[in-house]
Order: sequence, then structure tokens, then C-alpha cells
Amino acid sequence: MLLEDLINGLLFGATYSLVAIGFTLIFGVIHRLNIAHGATIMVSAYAGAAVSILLGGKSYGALLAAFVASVTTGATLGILIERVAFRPLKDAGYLAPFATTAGITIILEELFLKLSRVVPIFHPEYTPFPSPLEDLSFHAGPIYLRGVYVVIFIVAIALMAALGFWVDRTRSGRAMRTVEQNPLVARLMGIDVGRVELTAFAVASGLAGAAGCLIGVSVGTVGPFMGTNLLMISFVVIVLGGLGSIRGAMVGGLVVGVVESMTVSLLSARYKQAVLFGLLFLVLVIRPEGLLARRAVVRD
Amino acid sequence: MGYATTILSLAGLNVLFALSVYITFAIGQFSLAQVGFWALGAYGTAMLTTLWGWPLWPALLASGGVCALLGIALGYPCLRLRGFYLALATLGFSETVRVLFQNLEYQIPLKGVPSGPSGVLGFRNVAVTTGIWDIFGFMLVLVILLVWLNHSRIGLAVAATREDDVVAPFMGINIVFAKVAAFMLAAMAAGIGGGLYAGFTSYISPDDFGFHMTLLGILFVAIGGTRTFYGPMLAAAILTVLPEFFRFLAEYRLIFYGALVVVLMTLRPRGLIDERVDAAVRRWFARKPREA
Amino acid sequence: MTHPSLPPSSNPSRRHVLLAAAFGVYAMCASGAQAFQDEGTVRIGSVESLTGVSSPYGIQAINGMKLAIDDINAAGGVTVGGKKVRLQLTPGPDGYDTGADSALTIALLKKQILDDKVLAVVGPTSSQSTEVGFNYLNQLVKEGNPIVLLSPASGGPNLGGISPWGFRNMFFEAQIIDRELALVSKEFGYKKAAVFTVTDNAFTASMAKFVIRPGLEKHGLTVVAEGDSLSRDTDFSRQVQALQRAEPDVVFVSAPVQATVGIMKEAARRGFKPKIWLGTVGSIAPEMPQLGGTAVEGLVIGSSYLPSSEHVKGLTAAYQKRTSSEINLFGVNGYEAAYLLKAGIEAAGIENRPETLTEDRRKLRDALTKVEIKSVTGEQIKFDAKGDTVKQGYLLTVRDGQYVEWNRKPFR
Repeated sequence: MLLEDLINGLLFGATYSLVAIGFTLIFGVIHRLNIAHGATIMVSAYAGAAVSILLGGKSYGALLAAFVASVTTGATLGILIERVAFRPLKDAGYLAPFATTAGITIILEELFLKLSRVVPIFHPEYTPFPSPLEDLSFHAGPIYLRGVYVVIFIVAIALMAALGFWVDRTRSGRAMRTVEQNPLVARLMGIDVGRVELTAFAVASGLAGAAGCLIGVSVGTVGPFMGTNLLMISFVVIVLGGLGSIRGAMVGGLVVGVVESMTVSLLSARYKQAVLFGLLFLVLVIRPEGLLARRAVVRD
Repeated sequence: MGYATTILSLAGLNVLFALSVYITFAIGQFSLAQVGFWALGAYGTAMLTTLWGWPLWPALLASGGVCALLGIALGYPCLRLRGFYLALATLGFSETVRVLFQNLEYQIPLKGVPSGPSGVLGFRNVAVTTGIWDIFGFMLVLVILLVWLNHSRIGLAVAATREDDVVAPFMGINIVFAKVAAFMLAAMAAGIGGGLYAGFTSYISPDDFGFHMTLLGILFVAIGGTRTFYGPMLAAAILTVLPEFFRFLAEYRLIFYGALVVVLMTLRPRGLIDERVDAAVRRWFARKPREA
Repeated sequence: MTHPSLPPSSNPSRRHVLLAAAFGVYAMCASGAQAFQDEGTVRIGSVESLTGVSSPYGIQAINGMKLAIDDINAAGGVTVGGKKVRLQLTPGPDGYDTGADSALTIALLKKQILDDKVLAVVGPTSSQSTEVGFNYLNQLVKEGNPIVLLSPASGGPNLGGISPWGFRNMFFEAQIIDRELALVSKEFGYKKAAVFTVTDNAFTASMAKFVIRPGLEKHGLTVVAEGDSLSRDTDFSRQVQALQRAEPDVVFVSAPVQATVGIMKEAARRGFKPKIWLGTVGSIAPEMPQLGGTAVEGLVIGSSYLPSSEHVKGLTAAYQKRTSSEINLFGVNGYEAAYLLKAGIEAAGIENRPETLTEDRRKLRDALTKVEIKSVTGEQIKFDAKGDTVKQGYLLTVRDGQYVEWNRKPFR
């Protein structure tokens, strides 16, 4: 059954990839970590859950509506966060956004703790996210696969490809790449750096929204702290893959998924963290800039 | 000991933590390892005082010493890492320490009751030996040390390394020594701080030393500013004491806290004590006639 | 590049710090300057988690307690020295919030003792804060300032007995788990068991270690498989796989709500159907049946009260009316805690004067050890030697999306 562990690890790892892609995209453009990425996932998940519950939660139409709701909520929240937590801190050094995004995360988590007590369709600790996808499963030979993980895997790959296309082939994408490499030069070339950054935030947070919806569906519930739990793993993923590298985030997520799956299977869940960080140390010792980083030196 | 003394003690412990985090930031290293050393110091001191009856300060110095050595051991491999990579590697260290204590079971019978760290269940009945003067006394020692270092050639070396550690070696500065020494000092400060914490609360568990504490450390140096040691001290004091005055907000207290952090950071993007304030403070001190 | 413009004054941060300090001094003085006891009240304090991860439990507990205080006062209050005196939650309206910071429990306890001058304190919520609080009670004894700390919410099996001043009226499952394991092993004849634990949660980990495993061993059930996960995990495929392979009759789940729902759903998906699923109080939440749907049907959990019973119907309705949400075990315990204190106060013979406060607190502690009341749940309860209430409890199961009393028959 090691094969099943491996495959399931890969599929589940795509969840991490989905979260990490947005996270690393923001870093690539502004060289800052958006700690509120986790909270964005959470809020979008709640939005999706609400839509799904209101629409009955049994049809794929409802699921699609929920997905759209999550992505839009994510993108909107992302723009808000950029305005409040990043724009005012342009000259502030690399630590300042940690504080503001952490503050925003605390606010959002407490807000949703309160909301989940007050809003009728929500529940105090966990709110259900009904969907037809949750229990979908099939067998590929002797291997048991959960449909929702396959969907997440496909969506993650598709989004990665779409992002790649955007960055390589479109003007706005190329503008973003220029800003990534050298904001000053970009400005001199007439690129509206502010708009590029805003776009990056919107896209990345929209991705977070997608992740929120799909994760909510796969777990079947949403809770105020679901984002923070995911964020810690995302740190590991984006560093493994190389900060700023989207392909790295994808691969890193899959690697982490497999490592976790194997650890639980061969050892026990309580060693997951230790093994993961052990792996991280190893990678950083051999390749301090991550597996797939594009640059050898990281400017901070 | 009244309520005010207790809050001051908690604030003092947070200030010590902020100082230990500051030390590596001062040299330009984004290290999040202090939480791990705080935990090691807490458990080490707790075991020495509770299980083997050591008095407080020998226990603190012993744990602090071990942490210092571990700090050196950690500092070396981390030399190659920079920025967020270093942050994550050191975060990994702290998390690994936490997982270690989640699985550490070591109990010996004390007056018939098994005592000692018990994994997830924590270490209870730690001997309460920390007084408010232990906390502030150590803080004073640390501050004096930092001020002295600041004014010495080491201070210049540290500032130079922080500004540009590629050029600094050309100026004759041994940045390896500087960085590892910073790691060592920060680790020792955190170790002693953790020991004081254990002797204060009488119960420690691995959950005390988790990611939220790491985040708190980052908040202290972000809001306080990495330029001076008293910036993070001020930030720690404000973030500990101010929410107490807003207890009437009850359920909304934490939302207030988050908003406070955002507002403080936005009003003072380069920290409470940024270059301008630091320069003003230095000028104010320079007005006094210099001691011979 | 835009700079946020700095205010024109020379040292803005210094001004703000001074202002905050001045306000602080005022705030600290203000709370102590109130007159000590109003003539007609007895002060009770509260330190619960009203924010953070444990807040769902803490808020239930404080709401339950407030309802009880209102009910007690509406009936005249507590009898002290022959007179009827009101109970007052100090400070209102919700006591103090310890949040997720267990070290604050100490500071807040101090404040309640020295500044608010309460007779007893209800709380804390989480096992962590309760450990800190109870440990600290021993320190307070040394300082000459101890106080009764009654926790309605923390259920860790070995927290009782840390301090003679620490009490808990939570529901302790050792007895009921013993009964249910006896039932399944002797009457149903089950032999093989599996245990699933969330290992980084102090409550579920200690339940597994101190109650479940010894219980299984005592009743001759062999543990053929084990699974564990961390609190934040959401995928249980590996664990279910391992459990499925061992084909246990009984699966005992010691996990919080999300993990319980998660593992049972995964089991349902994979067609893993042990003969019975058993759970702990950590899994009990009003919305659990809704979250789990058909997958959690048949789960057996012990609880201190029967949600459908006549006794708690009034309380459930009152709670719903006041808070627009459904009461759970923690709310009921909060309600019960106030009545336990009432009984203690009335039996203690306190004088309720500022000068006698320390002595009154000691009298209350002594009285509590002997108190016995009929709880709102209908059961007679009192504290055992370790300060924990012994409750018989009921075996509940999930049927058609509701908690009902288990009919003690096998499901398959």
C-alpha cells in the first residue's frame, strides 16, 4: 500500500500547493510575506460555505456558485489587505508587514468567532460546507482515491499553468515579472508598479479564495482558525520551493504532502512536524535558496 | 504581590523576550530561534529547581549556559542563510524543540508524587522562585551590557555588519564571530528569561512555546524598531500593559489588540523608535558632559 | 514614494505614552476606589476564555453562570446571616477574559482577590489555564491569600487534587466509560478495540492515556490498532486505512469535534464499519451531528445530562432566548457552578464584611467540600476528595441527527 500512500500524498499535497502558490506570488512581487493569506483563505471559505448552505449544498451548481463566491471574496479581501497593511508601509522595512498582517489576522479570526455565534447558518466552532463533491471517491485499481483531492490536484496544476501563461505571455504578466526583478527599472520603463502590485494581490488572494473553497469542501467544515493551521505549512512549502517561485511552490506542496503521508503511514502523525523540519534543514544546508529558486541571492 | 506587580512581572518577562529577539536582529539576522531557547531555559530551570532543589540563579545560569552553547551550535550552520530562509530555519528549530517537549516524559517521585515534564500534559508544580526583582534585575544587567557593547568597538562592528555584511569583512570585521556571538547572547538571554518564566507561572507546557509566541517576538521588534534595544522593550511593555486597561471591552479585547497592532505599525512604519527618534535620543544624551 | 507624514510635534510617541500611563493610573485606581461590598451583595468573580480558541466553551460557561445568577437573585438571592443577599458577578458584565494566554490567569486571579475582593472565582476554561490556575493556588496559600477556584469547563482526568482550593464541576467520564466498556465487552462480547487519539491536545491525550487504555485493558479488550493525529490535521486516510486493516469491533475516538467528524466521515467513505464507535466529551458539541451527517450516526458518548430531558428543557429555552444559540454541556456546567457556590455560601456561615473576607473565603472552601445539591440536570452532585464532582451521567448516541439516550443495544 505504499503506492497508495504516495499517490494520496501527492494529491493531498496539491492542497498545500494551492495555498502556497498565492502566498509565494505575493512574495515574488513585493518581497514581503502576507501573513493574512491564511485569514483570507478562512474568510473566503466561510463565504463559500454560506453560499453553499443557502443554495442547498447538493448540486454542482451550488458548488460552482460557492467557488465563485470564494474567489471573489478572496480577491476583494486581498485588495483591502494590500491597501491597509502594505501600501502605507512602503518604506518600512521587511518586518512591518508582519505586524500589520498579523494584526489583521487576529481581527479577522476574532470577528469570525463572534460571527459564527451570531449568524444563524453558522455554528460556534465549525460550520459545515455541504457539497456533492465531499464524498465522491473511486478506485483506480486497488488504490482508493478521493474525488475532491483529484479535483484539487487538477485545479492546482491548471492554475499554475494559467499563471505561467499570464506571466510569460501577457503584457500585465510580463510587467509583473519586471517589477519582481527590479521595481526601480520597472518604474523607469513606465510600468505602474502600484497597479501591478495590486493586481498581484488580487490574483494571489483570489487563489486563496479558490483554496478556501476547495479545502472547505474536502474537510466538510470551515472554522475561524483553519487558515492559520495551513499557513505554517505554507511557510515550509515556499521555502522548500524557493521564495517567489510558483513552480517551486507547486512542487514543494507535493513534496510536503508525500512526506507527511509517508510519515503518518510509517511512523506516526506526531513526528510529522519533526520530519518536515528535518527535511527543511537538509534542503537549506545543501541549497540555501530553496529547490527551484530563480535567483541565487534573495534581496530583503 | 498585587495585581499591578503581577502585570509588571509579566510585562518584564515579555520585555526580556523582546530583548533576546532584538539581539540577533541588531546584527541583521532574522532569527526566530529564541522561542526554542526560551522553552529550553524554562524546562531546564524548572527541572533543576523543582526536581533537584537548585536555587534559582544557579539554575538559571546553568540553563542559560547550555542555551548559549546551543546558540553557538545553531549559529554556525545558519551563517549561510539569509532573510526569510534564516527565519524559517530558526522557526524550524523552535518548533522542533516544542515537539521534543511534547514527547518528553521524565518523572521522579517527589514526596510520593511523580513530578517532572510529562509530554503534552506539561510540567506542573514548578517551584515558584521568581520574584519581580529577579526579572528586572536581569533586565538591568542585560540593558547595561547592551549599552556598553553599543558604545564599544563591538557596537560599531555590529552596526556595520547589519548595514552591509558583504562589505564589513573588508573593514576588518570578523562577521562570523559577530554573528555567532549574537546568536549565543540571544540564546542565553532567552534561556534565562524562560527559566524566570517557569519560576513565575509554576506550570509550563509545550503549548506555551508555540507559534503565537514567535509571532509576538516579531511584533515586538517590528513595532519597536530594530534600530535600538529600547524600542522592542517599549513595544513589549505597551503590548502587555495597554490591553489591561481595555478589559472593559471583554469579548472585543482581542480585536482591539489586533487593531492596536495595525495602528501602531501604520503610524510608525519604521518602528516606535526609528532613525529620527534614535538620533534625537542620542543627541539628548550627548548634551550631557561626558564622563571621564 | 509616499511617506506617512509625521505629526508636527517634537516627540509624539512620548506624548502618547504619557497619556496612556496617566489613563492607566486612573484606571487602576478607579477599580479599587469603589465601596467594598454594597450592603446587599455577595461578589463572585469569573475568569473564562472569552476570546481565542477556547472561547466557544468559555462563553457558554459565563452565559450559563449569568443565567443562574439571575435566577438565584430573582428568587431572592443567597441567605447570609439570616438575610437574603444578591449575588453579583464582579466585574460585570462578563467577568475577565483570559483569552488563550494561560499566564494571564495568574494576573487576573490576583486582581479578583486583591482589587475586586470577590468571595470565589469561577473558571478557567481550558485545561491549560486551569493547570496554571490550580498550580498557582498553592502559591497563593503560601502568600496567605487563597481563594476558591471552580472550573466548570476543564475536564482533564488528573487536574483534580492539585490544590485543595481548586474545584471542578465538569463531567468526568472515567465512571461512565467504565460502564460502557463493561457493557460492550460482557454483554455484546466484543473483543478487539482500536484507539484513535489526537496527541497534541492535553485533554484528549490524557483521556486516552489515563482512562481509555486502562479501561480497555481492565475489561479484557485487546488493542489491535492505534491511530493518532495532530489537532490541525484534516486528512485521516492513513489512520482509517490502518484501523480498517485490523478489523476492530470497537473504535474509541479521543479527539476534539473536527477530528472526530473527520475520521468518522473518512471511515464512512471507505466503508469501514466497526461494530461500535465510542467517543469522549471532547467530541460533544450541539452541531456535531449536523457536521457529521450520517457518518456519525451511532457514535456513543457519555454526557452529564440528557438534552431532551424535562429537567433541562427550561434552561435550554432560557439560554436560547437570551443568547440566540443552543446550550451545551459547558453552559449547563456554568449554570450548575453558580448553584454550587450558592449552596456553599449558605452553608459556610460567612459574615460578608470587608474585614472578614479572608476568613470567609476559607469558610466557603471548607463548606464546598461537604456541599450536595440537586443540579439542574436532576442529578444529586457533590465534590469528591480531589475537588471534582462525581456525576453518573448518561450514555448518549447520535440518532437521526440528534443526541438521544442510548438504548444500550448494538448497532450492527
